[in-house]
Amino acid sequence: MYIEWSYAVYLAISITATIWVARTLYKNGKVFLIDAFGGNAELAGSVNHLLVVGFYLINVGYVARALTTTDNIASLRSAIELVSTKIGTILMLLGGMHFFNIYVFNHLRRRGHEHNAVPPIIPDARISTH
Amino acid sequence: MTTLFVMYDTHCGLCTEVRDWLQSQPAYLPLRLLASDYEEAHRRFPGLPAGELAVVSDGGDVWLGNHAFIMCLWALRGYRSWARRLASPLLRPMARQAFEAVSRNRRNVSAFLGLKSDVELKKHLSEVTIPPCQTE
Repeated sequence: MYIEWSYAVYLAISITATIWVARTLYKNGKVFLIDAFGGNAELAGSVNHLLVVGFYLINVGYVARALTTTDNIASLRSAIELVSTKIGTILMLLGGMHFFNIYVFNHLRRRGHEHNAVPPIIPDARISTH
Repeated sequence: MTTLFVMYDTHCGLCTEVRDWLQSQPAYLPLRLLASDYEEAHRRFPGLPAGELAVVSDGGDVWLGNHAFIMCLWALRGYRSWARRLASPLLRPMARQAFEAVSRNRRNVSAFLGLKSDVELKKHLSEVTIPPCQTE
């Protein structure tokens, strides 16, 4: 009976943590992306959504794959230890993915700024163009 | 600013090198290369000095000589920060050497950018030899 409860607790905590991190990314990444795309909120929203979908797929996929154990869970103590180890791994993965996403947001933002930069030198002359 | 026109002198060794290299680089905005001794360049931009690299924006801003070399680098994806550094008053006269250095050998860019002070960078750039301009 311990093993079923361990799995249930593991899934509940891991998926809740994934949802929480994904929502945090979605909410706070928006500002970065709007800035990166020169105020184009629609494009920023679309990229943000795509990033979050990727984030969910990777994390929920890993959570599902990491569920199984071959350990013999015969006591409450070993059940808690198993759940703790597994959740610890998931939280570290989420942390890594979270920082990777922040890096992507910042990279896009910097690239956007670089693209819209003004020339470093004032012109020597002006001519009329037609 | 949506397009930069680059007028180069076909008799100048460095200018033709500029043309070939610019065409092979990814750029932030389209670069139109025009030989300054050809009709299209004269028709579009009459009165630009001959024998000197000139960059003209679609809005009519003109950069000449060293400033034009820096603007060419600024237009390229991989060289914007390098152009910004070269725009400092101390390094501007070295723009041709800097351009020669980066277009010949990409590894030099990071080596040069690693130099801390502009004085140090200027000293290194002054050692770069550039192909002679035959019109001079």
